[in-house]
Amino acid sequence: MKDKKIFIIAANVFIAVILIQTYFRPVEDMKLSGAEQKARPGVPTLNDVMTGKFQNSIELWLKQNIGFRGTFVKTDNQINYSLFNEFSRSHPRKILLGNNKELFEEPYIDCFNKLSTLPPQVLEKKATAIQRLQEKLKARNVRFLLLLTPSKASIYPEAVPEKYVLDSGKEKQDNYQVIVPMLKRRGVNIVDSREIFLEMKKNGTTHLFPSSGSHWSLYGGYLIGTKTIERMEQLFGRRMVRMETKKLISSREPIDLDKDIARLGNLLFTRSLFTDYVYPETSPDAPAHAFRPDVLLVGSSFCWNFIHYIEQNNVFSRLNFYYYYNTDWVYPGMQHHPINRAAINWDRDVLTRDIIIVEINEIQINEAGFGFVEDALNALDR
Amino acid sequence: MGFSTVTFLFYFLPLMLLLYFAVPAKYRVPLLLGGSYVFYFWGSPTGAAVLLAGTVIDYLFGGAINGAGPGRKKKMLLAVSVTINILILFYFKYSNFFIGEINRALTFFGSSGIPWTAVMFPVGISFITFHKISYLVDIYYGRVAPAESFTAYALYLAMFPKLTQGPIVRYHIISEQLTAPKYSFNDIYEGSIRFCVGFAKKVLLADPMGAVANPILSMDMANLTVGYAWLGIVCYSFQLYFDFSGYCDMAIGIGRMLGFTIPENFNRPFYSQNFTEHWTRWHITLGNFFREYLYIPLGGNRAGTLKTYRNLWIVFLVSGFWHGANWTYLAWGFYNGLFIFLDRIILIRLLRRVPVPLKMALFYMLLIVGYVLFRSDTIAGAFLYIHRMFDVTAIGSIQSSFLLAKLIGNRDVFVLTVCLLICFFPQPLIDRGRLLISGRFSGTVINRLRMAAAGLIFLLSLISMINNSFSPFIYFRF
Repeated sequence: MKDKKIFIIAANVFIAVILIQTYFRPVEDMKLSGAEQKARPGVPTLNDVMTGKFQNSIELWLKQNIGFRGTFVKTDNQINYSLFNEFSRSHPRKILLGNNKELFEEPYIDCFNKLSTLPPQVLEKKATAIQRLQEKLKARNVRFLLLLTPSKASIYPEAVPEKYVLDSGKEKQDNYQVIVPMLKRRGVNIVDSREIFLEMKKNGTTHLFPSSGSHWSLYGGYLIGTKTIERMEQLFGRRMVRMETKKLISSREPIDLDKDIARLGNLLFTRSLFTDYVYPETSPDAPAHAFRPDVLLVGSSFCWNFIHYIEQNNVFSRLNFYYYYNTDWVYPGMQHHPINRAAINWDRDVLTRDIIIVEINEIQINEAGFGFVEDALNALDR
Repeated sequence: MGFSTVTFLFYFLPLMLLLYFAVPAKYRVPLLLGGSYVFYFWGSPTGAAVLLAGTVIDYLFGGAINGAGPGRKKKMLLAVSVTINILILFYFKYSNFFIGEINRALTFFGSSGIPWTAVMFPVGISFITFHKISYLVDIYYGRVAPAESFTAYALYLAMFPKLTQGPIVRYHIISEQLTAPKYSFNDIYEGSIRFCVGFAKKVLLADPMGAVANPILSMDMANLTVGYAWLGIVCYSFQLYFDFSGYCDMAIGIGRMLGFTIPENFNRPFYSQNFTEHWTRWHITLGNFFREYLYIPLGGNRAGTLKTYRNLWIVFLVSGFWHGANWTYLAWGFYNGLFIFLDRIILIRLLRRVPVPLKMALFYMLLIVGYVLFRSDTIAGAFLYIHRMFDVTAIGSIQSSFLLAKLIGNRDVFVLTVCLLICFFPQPLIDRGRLLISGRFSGTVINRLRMAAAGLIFLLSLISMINNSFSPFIYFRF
């Protein structure tokens, strides 16, 4: 009977502790990484109560705010990782564990397996739109550059476990392989990072992608930055500020985006996912006459690691980064504000630039420019 | 409000138990009744209103049936009261389906459909209706006296542990407890253990199996390989069983804590050699209900072989349609009825010499083929799926764009193995193991192990449940 009493008392204490933590937070809980839509308790209007909307909002809010949620989530993830060698499968954007602790997000593996290839006509249309934009901008004396960014799986296919490789995908061409010849035929200015990385890899360059990150590494972003500057110099016919490597620093501690998927795995021991990383120490090579262009960059989160060293070395005089074409990040200063697409002053904000760079990742070719290309063409046609 | 939600586990249930044990005995029934209505209202406000109105009507009819002398009036009162309940069930559960079918036919013949606003289905109305019918019929036959008070009857119907998914508790089983529930400390302890087991079945077994089954069962035929078809339906069978039996365990556990005896509903149902045996192990209270209130009133097996078969078919067709408003459920009922019929006329005799494991494997295969009908949205879809399961020409010739590794992860493989062991591990070995353990260890040690196991699986279930509610993205794009 004594044991049974202890069991019942322990169960009650457990519930009480969770509730105390929920409302008073006497202990600091583990922080969870990742953006989450915050639930708010609804207002009990008659309609919302009768349709269950109010109840659902309360349940969601209680779930999100339960005491020790961070600890519970991380413990479950750690169990999955330590015992089953995988990440939580309930995650909306699944994380897959590759060979040698290389982490992948599922969409990149789907792209690698060519699961969402577009019909050639669609890609032709996209290539034509990009070419038209380049020509129209040229007529306004604005240069255009397309920055194609790669997926980790394309550069390191050997890190994708066999169980995640679809046989039927091996024979197909992916969107990138189809659209690049189309763009080249049309004379679109391109920095093809996938081609550059594969060439670098062949020549022995390592650490182009971090094992614990989804995007190219800071080092990879830096290498493409130097290639982009070279290409821009060709387009402008002028010497720009270049970035020089003073030395490469090895580290076991990844920086920022180099650990983004590892952090999103929300393990108790995230460090167990870290491998080795390389970070260049750079300095600007800036002769007095060096040209610092005014740049508008439109792209995805791949651009953060690209901007990092460009910004550090003051390569551009001004940079606006239209992140997914919905938030405007202004450099220097990193101020940001949402973009109202309908209210863009194209003459003032876009056509005064020296160059517009559109970054497209190979898994997002279907949404190239996130609507920017089409909006810019409409504005220029007016 | 589901049992496996934060709202229930950390708010409703602890508060309900706390108040229930704190108040004087005479207030327990009204308190539990109020709590049960809060529980139901939270999940289905319309259902709570329908339940309350139905309770008043049935309570009055129950009294009237009991008061009427034997004869036509009594029969008439029973017929009216049962008809009212069936009409309520029909309106809420089947009207959308039938109007939809009629409109489809009218559209086919070029007419415009009947204007219709879809009716919201109150959760648990099928179970509530059966409780009500059992009460009225039992009074009619004099098996029970009408409820002592309106509160007792209202609690019989609304008692939150078994309100939405059963088990179906016949009135006479708990009529005494409804007026003066009695519980001991041991009941609270045993009820807690049972609750933990049910919670784990739901969260640790049923939900992961559902996560494997759902994408496969909604896969288009171009991607559905023969292997996937079998994997999907096997996982679905475990999802269905562990979800339902987990819920029933939780209901029985809570009932016991509160001082109520809720009957068992499952007894290793997949560990059967044929459909006849299976239906004595699966959803036992439903089987009992149909036997008592449909099969026997139809004549049971007393009116000759042909009528017995007819009665069985009727029971299974009604049972199929009771499960859901779709032709697929009717087909599932027909399918089960067919095998019960075949069992009686030939199968059991024919397979008498076949080794038991083979018989069990054959039965399980036939059972899960039936689950395809149960799970599909359309009969045509079900037949396509079943065809793929047995399409030997498709083996190796379909290049699915779904990777096996993404459909079933390492943890799911482990869970599937656990499910298989729980369902199919030989019963004699389990019995022998139990004997061995009880002979070797003292009751105290066994009890401590049970407690530790219950605590551990509760904790694992809780963290898994909370993790499932966390769905972050790396970056907000929009």
